[in-house]
Amino acid sequence: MKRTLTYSLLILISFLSNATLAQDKFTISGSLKDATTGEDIIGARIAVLELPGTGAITNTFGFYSLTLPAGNYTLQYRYLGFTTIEEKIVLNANITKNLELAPEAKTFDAVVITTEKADENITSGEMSVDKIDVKDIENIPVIFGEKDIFKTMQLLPGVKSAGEGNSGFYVRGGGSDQNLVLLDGAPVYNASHLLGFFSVFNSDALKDVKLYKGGAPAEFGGRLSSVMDINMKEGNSKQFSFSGGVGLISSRLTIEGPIVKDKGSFIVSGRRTYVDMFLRLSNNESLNQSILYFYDLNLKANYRVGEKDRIFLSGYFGRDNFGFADQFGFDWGNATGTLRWNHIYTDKLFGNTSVIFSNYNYKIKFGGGNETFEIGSQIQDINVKQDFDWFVNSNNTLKFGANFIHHTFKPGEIETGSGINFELNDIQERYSTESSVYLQNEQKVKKRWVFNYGLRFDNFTQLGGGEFYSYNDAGDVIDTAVYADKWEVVKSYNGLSPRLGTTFIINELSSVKASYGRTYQFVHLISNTTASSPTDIWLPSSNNIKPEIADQFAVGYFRNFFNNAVEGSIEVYYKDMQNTIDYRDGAEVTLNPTVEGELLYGRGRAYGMEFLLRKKKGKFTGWVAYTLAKTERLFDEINNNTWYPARQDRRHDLSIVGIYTLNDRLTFSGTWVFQTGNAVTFPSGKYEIDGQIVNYYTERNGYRMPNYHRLDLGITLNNKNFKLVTDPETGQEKQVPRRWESSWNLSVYNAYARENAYSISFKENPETGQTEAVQLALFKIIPSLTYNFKF
Amino acid sequence: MKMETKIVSLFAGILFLTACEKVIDIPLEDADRKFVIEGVLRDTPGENYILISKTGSVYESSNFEKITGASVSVTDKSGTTYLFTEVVGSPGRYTNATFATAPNNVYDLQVISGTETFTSSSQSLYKPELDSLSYIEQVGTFGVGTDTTYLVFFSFTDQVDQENYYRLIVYVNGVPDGTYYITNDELFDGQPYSQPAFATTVEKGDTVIMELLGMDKSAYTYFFSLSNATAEGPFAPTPANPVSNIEGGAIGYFNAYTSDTMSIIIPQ
Repeated sequence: MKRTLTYSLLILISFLSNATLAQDKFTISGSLKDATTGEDIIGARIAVLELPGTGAITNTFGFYSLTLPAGNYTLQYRYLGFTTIEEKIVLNANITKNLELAPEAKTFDAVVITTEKADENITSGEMSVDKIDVKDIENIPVIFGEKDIFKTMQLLPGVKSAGEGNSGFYVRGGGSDQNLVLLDGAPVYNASHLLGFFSVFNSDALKDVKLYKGGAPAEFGGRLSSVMDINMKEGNSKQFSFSGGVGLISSRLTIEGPIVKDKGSFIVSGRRTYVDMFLRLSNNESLNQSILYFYDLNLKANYRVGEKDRIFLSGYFGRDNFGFADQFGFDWGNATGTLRWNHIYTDKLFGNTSVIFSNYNYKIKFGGGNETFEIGSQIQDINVKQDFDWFVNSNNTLKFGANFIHHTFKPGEIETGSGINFELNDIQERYSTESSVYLQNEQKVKKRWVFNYGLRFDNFTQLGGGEFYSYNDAGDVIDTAVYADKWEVVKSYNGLSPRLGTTFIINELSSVKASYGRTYQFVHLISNTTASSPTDIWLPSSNNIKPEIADQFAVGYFRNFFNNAVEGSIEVYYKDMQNTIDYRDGAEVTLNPTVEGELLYGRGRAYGMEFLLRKKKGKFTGWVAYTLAKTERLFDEINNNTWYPARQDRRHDLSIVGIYTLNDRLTFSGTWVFQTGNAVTFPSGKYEIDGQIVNYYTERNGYRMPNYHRLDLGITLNNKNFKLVTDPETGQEKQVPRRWESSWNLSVYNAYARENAYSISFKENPETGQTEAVQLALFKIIPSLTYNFKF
Repeated sequence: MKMETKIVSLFAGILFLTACEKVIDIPLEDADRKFVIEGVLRDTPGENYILISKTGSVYESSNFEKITGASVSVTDKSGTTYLFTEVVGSPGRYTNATFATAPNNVYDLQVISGTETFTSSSQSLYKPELDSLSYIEQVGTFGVGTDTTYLVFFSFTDQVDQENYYRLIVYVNGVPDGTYYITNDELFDGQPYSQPAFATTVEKGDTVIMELLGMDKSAYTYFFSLSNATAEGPFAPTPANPVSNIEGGAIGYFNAYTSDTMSIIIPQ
């Protein structure tokens, strides 16, 4: 490990010395924004026409920096969906150039032919990345018409849905708790509403979503399988704007506008479901007192303090509520907050300082009056993070930074009302810290090569305060150690994660990429149920639970067709996982003070191939994604210590997504998915005990669920959003946007009413006395209508 | 604390009123037949029994093979051995008319059938005592079931400085309701405790009998994992066999316990 460090330092020093040797070089830097809304443009490319292959990409805050030898250049600023700007510059001093890109003009035939090259997927140093433009998801049909980035993500290769209509997902054989979901840098611990049927992200408030399935940059760590990096919009800094939608089960409203024009802006976006409001109209007393809803609130504000500083404050608050009158209540939700300060230290060095808060909790309350009984659980993080982007020269972009997280785990707190004459003990709270430093460089070498190399160091320390147990092989407590002091170190783990990637550009149309990355995970979701539940708790790595470790290798071939109109890629990957967690038979995982004794530790491996063909331009857009995958686990205590398929193991996954824009007003869309069955445990016998018939199992996950397939259809009808006006000067007709824009979206989920198995249970038919395999299908055919507006 | 799972399942149930069920054909491999032993020893003479049978095929009728002619005995910690004999007319059921468990004793079971020998051991702890039963009226249960039901609470005081494991069996009008109420004293060691039988539907005029069993850890683990194994739906744990305390390759349990019973009548 020491060697790796030394090598990285050597490499770093070698290119830094290059940088200092080069004479008379100057830097052009600045930021890119959307001309209509003032939103920062992330990932826009700045190309130098005179120097093919040289360029820069804007970072998460729209900042770019490019260092070139003195001279005259033509810079091309381009971003898909926006009009490319060409700027001629004379570079004989450092220049700042802040620009605004205008969205591509709507023309009468709606087809925009751009001559720009959109070959990012060939030339970028990234692989194993799924990107979704939030605008793209508007047309894709989804259940209940609730557009959802998670569900659209599941249509991409390597990302598997956690179940029918579920927003939970598995990436390349990893568990659903192995995805780091970041909203403006804040981890979201339970990203689903209503038992997983909706993600907590209201897409109206989101700008950009990127999913790293492997080889994530060293700036990310802490989860084994993937990083989903979600950025919220900053809000329109040009003018006030209102948008929203009324749907089958929820309504949304977003307000955004400038705080001071072009200097600061805000956005507030809310969403709430209203099934309960209909229930309230019912005459049935037991229905009209039922409580069943969720809501989300996203807030963000930013303000530019001078030329070099910018402050962002963003927050998310969402909650699910379920209950009945005052007798019973069950609610859960996340709250996150991020305070960020951008500072441009020099025209080459961009810094971002963040203070991040994240909390997930649930509460269950029984009883009324003073005879109440409340169970609660939560995880809370305070996180301080410093990141730097150093645009060293036109060939090297260095990112480095540090991060410190303090975790508080409250696995179970029980409170009784004054009318109840007994007390229950809480499950002990746990505290831990997670500290990291990282360094990552992207280096271009001789036009054809891009190298990414980085190193991340993590330390995870479990802190004291309370009793810590040791267990024997059977999971029984054999020793108890008491750590009285809250900051006493109980157990500490270090992890060194190298991240390596390389791209070889074969020609303008094709490239080969390879990557390797190691990841550590120090917090673990404890859940032994098939579906994830809001009551699942998170536990830290401890004297018993070792950090989970994954090593992943991936190789890919990227090829574009038809002048970059169609992107194609094939990736293969192999992932090895250590210290993965499973549960003893009959494990008790809720409100159990000795829950760590119920855990088993084993190995995992996952490998597969992912194929994607995607058409991004023209009247007809969409993609075909196919994944061939296998994921297995090995535990001493399960299936006689032989490799067995993990719960999420599924051999074939096919998604076809098509969006056809007929004209300005009408868009048709369809998706079809086909999946072979997940691994599942079925009985191979039965017996009678304690007066009932019980199934007898011989093998974990030895069977398969039936194949799953489904067609969804959607139509979006834009009301006339433009009016024709004759330009008084030229006499030509041109389109002028109306103040009030609106559209209707009709979607049909499961259009051919396929009864897909959600679960299969083996039960005795009371009439015949025979045991039958009973399949439960959740959603047959669900049409929904949504009205969206903007003014 | 299975309560949370139940609540989540109930929640899911309401959400999916539109869901539909159908019987499908799933071919299953047949496992080798296993011995199944159910040993219930309690502190009331005449109510003790050992049942011995075998597993069967999933899709065959539930007429499981009964094991007759086995030699069954129970030995307590003083070394006294009690023979359990097969009941005439009830193949596979072995009893001893005078046997009863005593608190703080250890009982060893031995079953010999042909060439197979199975053993188990179970400890009876202190005899639990129910303090009281009470009820509250509930209007509606999320639109499911009748409008007015009753939630019956049981209260008892835990024995201090001992790990205790409890099971509550609820009989409504003489019929056991089938819910597993299982708890241990990790969260209330030595203190009074009360809990509703939250999954038992009780209506006006019903007679509710509650029996509180004090068991050892192995029986607790068995019943906890049995309640997991019989749960259904997406929020049920991954299917697994209950953790048996029988040695020698049989499945099932052996539970020597003491218990206390109380009853309450809900007024008309």
